[in-house]
Amino acid sequence: MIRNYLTIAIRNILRNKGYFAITTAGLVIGMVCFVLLTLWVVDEVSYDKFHDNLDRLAVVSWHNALATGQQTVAATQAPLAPLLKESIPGVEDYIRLVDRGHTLSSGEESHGESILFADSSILTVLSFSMLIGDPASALRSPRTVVLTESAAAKYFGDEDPMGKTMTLNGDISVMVTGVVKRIPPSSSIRFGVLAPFDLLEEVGEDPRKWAGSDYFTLLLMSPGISGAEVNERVSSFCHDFYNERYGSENNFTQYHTFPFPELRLYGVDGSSGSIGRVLVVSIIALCLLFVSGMNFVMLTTARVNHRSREAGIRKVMGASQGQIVRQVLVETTMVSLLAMFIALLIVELVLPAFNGFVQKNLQVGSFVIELGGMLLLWVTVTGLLAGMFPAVSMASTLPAGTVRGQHVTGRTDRRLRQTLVVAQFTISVAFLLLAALMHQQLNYIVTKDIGLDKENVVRLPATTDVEKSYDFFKRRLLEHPGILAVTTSGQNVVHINSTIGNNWDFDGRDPATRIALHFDWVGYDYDRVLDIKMAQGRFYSEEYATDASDGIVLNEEAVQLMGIDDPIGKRFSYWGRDRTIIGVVKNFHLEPLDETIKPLILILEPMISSIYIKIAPTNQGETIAAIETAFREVSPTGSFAYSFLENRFINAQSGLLRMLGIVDLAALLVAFIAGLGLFGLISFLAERRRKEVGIRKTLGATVPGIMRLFLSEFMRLVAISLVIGCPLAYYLGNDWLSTLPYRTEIGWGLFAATSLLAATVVLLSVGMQVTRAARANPVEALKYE
Amino acid sequence: MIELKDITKAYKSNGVNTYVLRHLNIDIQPGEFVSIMGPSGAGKSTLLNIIGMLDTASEGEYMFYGDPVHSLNDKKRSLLYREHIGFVFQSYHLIDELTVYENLETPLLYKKIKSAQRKSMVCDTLDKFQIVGKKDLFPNQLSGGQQQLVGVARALISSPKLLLADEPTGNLHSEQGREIMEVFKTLNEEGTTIIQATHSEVNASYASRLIKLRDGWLVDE
Repeated sequence: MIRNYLTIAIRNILRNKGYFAITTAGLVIGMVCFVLLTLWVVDEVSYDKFHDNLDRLAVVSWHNALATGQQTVAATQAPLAPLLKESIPGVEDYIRLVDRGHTLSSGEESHGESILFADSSILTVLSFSMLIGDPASALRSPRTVVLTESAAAKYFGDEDPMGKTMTLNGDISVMVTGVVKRIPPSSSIRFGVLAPFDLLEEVGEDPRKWAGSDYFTLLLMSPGISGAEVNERVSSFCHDFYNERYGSENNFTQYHTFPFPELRLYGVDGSSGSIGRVLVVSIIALCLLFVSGMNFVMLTTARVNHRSREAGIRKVMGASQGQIVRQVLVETTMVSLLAMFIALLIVELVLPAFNGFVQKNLQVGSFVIELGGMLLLWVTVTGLLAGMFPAVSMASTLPAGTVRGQHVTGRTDRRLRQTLVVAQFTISVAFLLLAALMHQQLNYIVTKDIGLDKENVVRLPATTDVEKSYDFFKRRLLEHPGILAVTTSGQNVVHINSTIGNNWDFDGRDPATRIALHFDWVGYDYDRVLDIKMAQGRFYSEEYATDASDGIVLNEEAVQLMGIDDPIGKRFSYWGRDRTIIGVVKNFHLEPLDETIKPLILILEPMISSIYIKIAPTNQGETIAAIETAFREVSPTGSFAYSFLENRFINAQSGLLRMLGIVDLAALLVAFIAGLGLFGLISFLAERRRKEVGIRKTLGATVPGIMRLFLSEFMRLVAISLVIGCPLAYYLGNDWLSTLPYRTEIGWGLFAATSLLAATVVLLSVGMQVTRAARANPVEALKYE
Repeated sequence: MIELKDITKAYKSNGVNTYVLRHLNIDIQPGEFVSIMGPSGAGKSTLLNIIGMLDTASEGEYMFYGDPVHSLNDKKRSLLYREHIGFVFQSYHLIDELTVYENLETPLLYKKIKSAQRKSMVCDTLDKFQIVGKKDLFPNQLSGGQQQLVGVARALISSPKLLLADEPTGNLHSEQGREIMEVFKTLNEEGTTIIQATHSEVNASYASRLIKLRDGWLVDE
């Protein structure tokens, strides 16, 4: 019997190839997207899961109440962690981590590296597996380094790196004591070179001071103790400790701990993690799956009803209701199963491209069972749903009518189809609108004016040699006509994330004002290189000898927040250094994607980590060559690794842009599936109503008249979808936008464009299909009956 | 074999009952060959459908071999049907997606007959109707007469006691129609009870008994 069903199903597919292709294409696309996006989501939520001690790891966060708003960071001061371990029962161990840029060399190989300085416990508490070396002792002595496989290969090639000596910043020798296996892609802690925390002292940083506060601190809790308990203890200990230390009630700074596994998803303040993106992508995945499934149900329903005649004949031949139902279900489930296999095949084919797009290394491999199970369930559900309505209506009616070729279920069938069309179109319209809105918002962030000119600016990381002979280097550079201005930065342009905390003062300061003031060490011409405008006064200039010893430049935001009236000439002090305000710069953004403006001071001091060079827009290749020549003159062995400032933006935005890409693609696919569904449905109905069209034509109907007949039905459905979908999207979109600090407006243009698009899809589908039916010779159509 | 008592069929449209059959009382004995005649709209097909259990009467009793069909549920009715009745239609009603062989096989599948036996039954039937050469063709590859022959063969494959035919020759030209009628005659001689609805005096003359309908009333026997 089942063979008979399958034979019929397959012959039906072959006979109606086009219709079948349209029916399954949507389902396949939906499933492919669902699988890919699910892989992405699974990857995103399984960060850091490979650590054996995962459940016992807590991150210490530092919370500050400031005039600029509440601020919570996953970073503390270096001496805090040892103090916590010593004083709090339940804190078994700690790891402090901090990234610092230094030059590391071995023989000929010399590279600027971002070195991760960490307590030696990193290799025992966390589960990075070591290829060579002893995890317990590798970082015990301060003059050691541990390399990853790829870093070891970079410096030593095929040689065994163990016991080799490397040089840090040209004068500190360190020994390689271990090699760590490739860090899993799902690790949020990443490094190429790992150095002991104590080595920081050798490079001029004192981790015993309570000065810096950018040390990422992990605690290993004792087994059995709850995270909440540890949080409670840490928080109350720090409260008491601060009160004692500063001798007053302290309400503006607090410490907390939260579970390390949640860092990636939720961030320290519960909102800065990737959970938002994970949710958006999950919703997109489900929407795509749902819309495509509904599309399938709709098209199959329309199609299977066409076969009520066959069902009638079968009943006449002795089929029972159950057998008819079973046949239809076997057929629809078979088609959806087939779609699933095609989808899985396509997933295999496009996964590498998708991986390139999202910059991940996703694999179906280990999820094949779960994914297969989920899809199988979905396929069965859609298959059954698609078959259910027609099967039941076909089976329960008496065969007398159907055998005569009447469509017994005409009215309910039509109602069902209309409901499905409206539901699917509503979701699609809302989805399209939200996608367009997200696109608009992300685009707004990406293209907004950040207050400085990032174009034609070359960034050059400073080597020790360049730092020593900067003035000479600058003179050499300016000899070239293509080089317009040269300056330095101690942090990085548009990456100013360090603050001097609350260590500032001026005459007439309100002691209640607490501001974390951002700062950068800059060179002369910083304003010219970046085209930063002055709001008041002037920028540092070599013509004023006192600028270096007495001048200070603030930004407008700082002046406003501190409440300095008429700032030029006022005294201002930071870190206990007394200065005169010589200028106020207009606000610019300190991070490419940060939407807020931060208070900032620019300190004239030759703390050079990078050199910024403004070059002319023409002959840039030649100009870069000239820069390299000058660089070689002062630093014959250093590595010349220039980059364009603009690329920093592109890199910083790449995450957002990828997200934008996913959203755009998904929107496109949803629109495509919805359009495909409508197209399929209209072509099917046009075919089915050939006779009606033929009769109408013999009665004198014109082609446009027949078009109107079809259009009116579908336009009405699409109009209903728009009426439901637009307010839904408006509501959800507003809800989302209201959580963002800087946001675009929801314009009516968006709704108009979407409506127009929907109407166009209907018009095109109806136009293409119905014209054919309407143009045909009516005699042909009528002869068939 | 068949006892119809006071059978009435009415459709409700716009709140008004439209009567198709009115108070019919008909008895049919095993082995009879009955022709139902009457003009279009007289209720021939409806009567046939009710006898063939494809439709139910609005009022009245229908006994089939002593079983009260009017009060049986769908499942029992389809069992009874499967066991005893074969149906032939004016427009053949073969399944387009199945070959001649498969069309013949389908009723046997519904009767859950074993594969080997099924095969021999299909072959016997193909043989009997001399359509062995056509067994792998699809319905649209056959002429109307050949299609109807397959339709008759399919109706008879499980040796039903009752063959119902609704205008079996209506779509055929006279020569083909005559052949089908000859087949019917032979079948009837072999013991199959046949009831056919027809317009044609010629076809009706093959029958042993004539039932005339007009506007749903039994006019004359």
